Order: sequence, then C-alpha cells, then structure tokens
Amino acid sequence: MRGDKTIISCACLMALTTPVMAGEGSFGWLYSLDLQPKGTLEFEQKVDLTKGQAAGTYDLWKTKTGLEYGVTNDFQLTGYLNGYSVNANKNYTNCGADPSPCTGGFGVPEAANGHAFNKTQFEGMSVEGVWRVTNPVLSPVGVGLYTELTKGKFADALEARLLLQSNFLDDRLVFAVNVVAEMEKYKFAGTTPSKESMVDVLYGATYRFAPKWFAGVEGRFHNDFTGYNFDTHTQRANFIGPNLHYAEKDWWVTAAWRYQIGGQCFGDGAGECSDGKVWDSHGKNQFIVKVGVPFK
Amino acid sequence: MARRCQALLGTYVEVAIPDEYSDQYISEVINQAFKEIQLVEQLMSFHQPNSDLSRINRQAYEMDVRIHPYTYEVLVMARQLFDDTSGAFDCSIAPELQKWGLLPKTYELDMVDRGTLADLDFKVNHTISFRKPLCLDLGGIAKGYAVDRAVAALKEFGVLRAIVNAGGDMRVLGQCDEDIYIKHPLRPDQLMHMGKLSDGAIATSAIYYSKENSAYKNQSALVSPKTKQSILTNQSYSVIAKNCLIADGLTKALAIDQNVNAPYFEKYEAIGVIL
Amino acid sequence: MRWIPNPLVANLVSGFALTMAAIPVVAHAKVYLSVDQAKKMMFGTADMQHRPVVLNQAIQERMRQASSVSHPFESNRIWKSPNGGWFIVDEVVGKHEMITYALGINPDGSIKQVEILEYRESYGFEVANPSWRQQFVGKKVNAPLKLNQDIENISGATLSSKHLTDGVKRLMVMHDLVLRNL
Repeated sequence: MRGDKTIISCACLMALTTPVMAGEGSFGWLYSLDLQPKGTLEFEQKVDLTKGQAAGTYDLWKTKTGLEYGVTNDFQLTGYLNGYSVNANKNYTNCGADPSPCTGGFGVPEAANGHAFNKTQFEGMSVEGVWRVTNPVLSPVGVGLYTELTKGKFADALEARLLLQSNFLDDRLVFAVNVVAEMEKYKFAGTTPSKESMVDVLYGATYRFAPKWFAGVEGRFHNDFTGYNFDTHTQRANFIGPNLHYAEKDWWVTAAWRYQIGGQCFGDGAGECSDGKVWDSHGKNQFIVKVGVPFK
Repeated sequence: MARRCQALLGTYVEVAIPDEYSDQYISEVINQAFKEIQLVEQLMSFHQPNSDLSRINRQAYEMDVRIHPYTYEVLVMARQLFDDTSGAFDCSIAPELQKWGLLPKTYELDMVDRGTLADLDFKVNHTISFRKPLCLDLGGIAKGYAVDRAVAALKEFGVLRAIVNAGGDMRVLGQCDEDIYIKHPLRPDQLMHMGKLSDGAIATSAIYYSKENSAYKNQSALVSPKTKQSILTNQSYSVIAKNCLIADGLTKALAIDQNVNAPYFEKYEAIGVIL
Repeated sequence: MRWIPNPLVANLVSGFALTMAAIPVVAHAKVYLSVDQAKKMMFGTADMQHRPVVLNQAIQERMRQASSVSHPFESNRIWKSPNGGWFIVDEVVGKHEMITYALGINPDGSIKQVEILEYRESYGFEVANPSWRQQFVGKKVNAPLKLNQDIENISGATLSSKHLTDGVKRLMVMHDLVLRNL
C-alpha cells in the first residue's frame, strides 16, 4: 500500500489490537478439540521434564517451539522446532552384569553406562495436524483425529490419535480422552536404530473454577511394544496428576504434573524396570509448562 | 482536498480526500469508494431485473430469497426504522403490486391484504421472505447506505478525513468540523449555513418549488405510507445522524411526522431540522 | 459524531441536542453499552419500572431444562415498560469470563432486541454484530432458539454463540412462565 506512512501504521496498529482467538491447550498432555479459528496464528512454547528414575540423576528435557495455524475452523496445522537435553548419572539399578547403579535410560547411548552423560541439542522438527470432526460445544461427544510426524537426530516418530471430548455445565467442565498410537525409530542407542511402537490412553477432566482459571487431573495408561507393528509387549505403566490452566486476553499458560503410579516390563523390555516402575523414557515424575500467544 | 465526481445513484456523487497523497494513491482510493457505491446501486436498483431488490420483489412472497449481505443489512435497518418510527418510515409501495402480478387479477385492489415492512421475515444466511405481498423501494435509504459504504472503503485505506456527498446525502469522516449548507426551501439557489459537522452524516428530503413552470417538482417522492397521499409542502426536512443510512431514513419519518422532538431522534442520537 | 449548530439558524429551528456518549473501551473488557444505554436504545424515554422477581426451584429447573444453561439466573435486573414490554439483563458463561447482555421483549411476547453489554473475552466477539443479533428479533418463546437450528452459528465463535442463544431461550421461558403474568 502506498501513501502516507503514518496513516498506514495506524491502520496496522488497529489490526494488532483487534482481539484474536486462540486454540488453547487447557491440558498438559491431552489434546482437546479447541482449535485455532480459521486464518489465525498462535505461537506455542512447551517445556517438558521427565525427572528421577531408580537412583542418581535423570533429567530429560524436551522443548517444542511451534506456530499453530487454523487452516479452517476445524483443521489446524502446527510446525515445531524441537530440542532436548538429557542429564543422566547412575540412574539405573537394574544393570544386569554391570556394576550398579549404572547410567542408562532414554537418550543415553550404551557406551555411557559407567559414567554421567549429558547432551543438549537441537533435535529436529515436527508437523502436526488436528482435524475436528464434531465439536464438543455442539455435540454430546466431540471427535477429532490427530497426527504428528517427527524427524530428529534422536528419534523419528509418527503418531496418530483419536481425540474425544465432552463438555458439561455450560462448557466449564471438560472430559477428554485421547487414544494414541505411535511408531518410533530411536537413533541414539547405537549404530542400529531401534524400532518401537506405543499405544496409550490419555484421559482427564478440567473445570473452570473461577474466571480465567481451569484446574483438573489427567492420567496416562501407557504400553510399549517392539517393532512398528506392536510385535511384543515390553512395558505398561500408569501415571496420574493435576493440571492448572490460566488465560488472559493475550496469552495463556498451562502447567501439569504426572506421577508414575507404577509399571511393569515384559520380555525384552525387562531391563527397563525396577522397583515396580518403568524407566526408559519415563521417570518418577513428569512436568510440563506450555505457553500460548495468539496473534494474527 | 482532492475531489472526484461520478454520476451515480441518479445524481452526482463527489468523494473528497486530503490531497497530500500521490495522484495514483488518490485515484486508487477514491475508485474503491466509487466501486462500493456502484455495488450498492446495482444491488438495490428498482429497475434492473437482476438486482437483489428486484429479485425479492418478484420472488420473496413465494419463497426464501438469498441476498447480498449489504442488501440484508439495509433491510434490517429499514425494518428497525419502520419499528422505531411506528411506520412513519415505510419503503413499501402498494400500487405497484398489481403491476408486478403479485395480486391475482380476480381480486380487487382494496380487498387484498397488502403488507408493510412488518411483514419482512429475516432468516439465516442473508435470506429474506415476505409474509404478505410487498413491493419495496429502497431508493431513499440506499443512497445513504451507499455513502456509508464509500466512507467505509476510505477508512479501510487508512484515510482519516473525507467527505462523500451524493446529491445532498453527505457524510463527513474526521474531526474536521465541516461547514454544512442546506438549500433554502423557497429559494433553492440560496444556501443557508446550518452548522459544523464531524464524523457524522446529514440527509435532506424536500420538494423544491420550481419557478419555471410554477408547479411543484419532486426532488424526492414523499408519500405518506398511512394516507398514501403525496406530501406537498414547501419545507425541507434534514436529519443529522452518525451515519447516512439512518439520516436518510429519518428524513422520511420527519417529513411524515413533522416533529423534531419525536422519540426516535433521541433513540438514534440524531437531530431533525425543518426549514 | 459532533454537530455544532449555527447559533443564528438554531433560533429558527428546534432540534434535539443530544451529546453522543462515548462508549468506553476498557483494556481487558469491551464495554459496548451500559445498562441504561441499552434500556434507552430499546425502550426510548419510556418510564421503566424495576421489577425484580423471585424464581422458585421449579421455575429455575424448567428454565434449565429448556435452555441447558446450568448456572443460576440472577433475577434482580428486570424492568417493565408501561405497555407491557420487558427489559432483562443477564450473563452467560464465555470461554473464560462472563458475557453480559440485555434482552428486550415486546408486549406481545416477541423479542424486541438483543444487545451485548460487556464482552470480556478476547474471542468470539462477533456475537456483538447487529446482523447476528438480528436473528433473534421477532421470535417468540415457541421458537427453537437453538444454535444451528433457527440461529446461525458464527464459526470460530461457537461457544459464545451457543451460550448467548441458550441464555436468550432461558429468558424467554422465564418471561413465558412468570413475567407475562405480572
């Protein structure tokens, strides 16, 4: 647009101060069917920490920095840049022939089992699409489909979810379930990538107890298998914990924590368990903080 | 101010914006404003068979008719004005009904239940239907609406000050205290300074005495919806309001009710002037 | 709008001078209209009589069933016009905060107008558009007053549209059960 610069910048300013809409993540790990409206953009930053295994130190940080875009009111596309950081030191007690405790777990190459291991790196990218088939605001059950493709130095993954959500009490009470299936190729362990698959059920509820505030619980029922096709069952674990969500006009934040109630390992996966819990990529506790900033 | 003029809406329409922009920009901006006026004219033309207005006049009694959002908005306001002025503003024309073939020929004209604006049904998706036979003429308020849309187009370009004038329906954009003149009703070649206007509109309806053939020449056809008689007075009726559509509509009501203190003026935060 | 009449001419004509009250825009809440402004817009200079009511459990329950709005109705913001019209102020749940709106009902029980008074969300503000609200005008209590039936949804503002529609339905039911008999 040509013309007087002052006038044009005034017009632009007006566009920025026009209220915009957001697809908010009210849960920590569960996906809801609250999507970015058509033509709107949102910036999201997620930081996820898995902390504490059988002994010693284990911190697995995962960050995702993303831009979320509403292609239509019912279809949303997000691109992420991912990073991770592993800090492990003598965190396993189930070391087989090796002296215990040893350093192991997700992200730790075999060579590191005698000493501490630290690595921080830019991991890769993900592309995620969510398609809302029915809207929980209008239907008794909202249904959606989700898929995410990840490529990274560490791991490649393809994840698909069935999203279910029901709202009650003027949409202040939200129940959600995600049925998750994922195929992962881990590339950190050695020269041969390992293939794993996962089936999880995430479930939770959140309630708007005060204006701008939501609080709830979410849980995870997790299963790991060898191979891409759920060949052999290697682990099962359960997690549960609270979540808190706060929204202002121009941004929102969610924080959640889940605690591992317990887990079991089977077959080839037996080495990943001890003390009735599953280690590997899981810890005693997991925390997540997400921030969203809508803009256009 | 840079001014451009085009023959539209049965009169000359002038758009003026500050001349501090480049010639190219001025042309582009003003062209957009004229385009909006052309669009409104096309949508609400009584004579063009494909206009929204013609389509609803022909079909809306028989079925739902989907129209352009602009036309819908004008009808919504027409209905609101009709309600708020207790029918003093009513843009439906009865005698044309037979001409349009909406009345079966076996019926006598005065035995048939003709409709008013109260018989407009507004539906979703900008759809309209008539509950009774109706023939609408949006000539009066369409001009005011066209002016409003032209101003909206100018605003979109970031223009902060402008004047759009369509043969007496005028809107001022900007806090510039524009001097407003109205023709003296008995001496149309003389102008009277009424006041200063910012960010508002003024519309005038009148019958001006023509010296040439000593007959009353209608500048705008003022017909009382209740009596169905032409109004022959030597007064002019002006309304100052926040937009031209409202100003236009209220001049019709003012001409009928002849009352500048009618409650609808306060409701619309408008000012009526009878000269 | 600002109109400064010419004092010389003003003596010849009489007009209604009304200063245009600026609608305040608060940083985190958009206040579209005050209760008084909305009342005046709908009922003009009519002498409105404050007529709060007390609704028993049975009535509240019927309102809830008809509209699915669950939070209780605060029944003290009701006014009656001399000819039997009604002006009611109510709130419905927005996504994060409440949306305050007013409903005007004609003496014949049809909807006169719906006005948004306060909208504190940053989303779904399209419900304040006159063309969306116009859908309600003229409807009576027997109309479905349900989103995606006789009221068109605003895609991207589904929650606000739904709650406002349900709110209006609830008030119409209340009017039918209680107000029109007063």
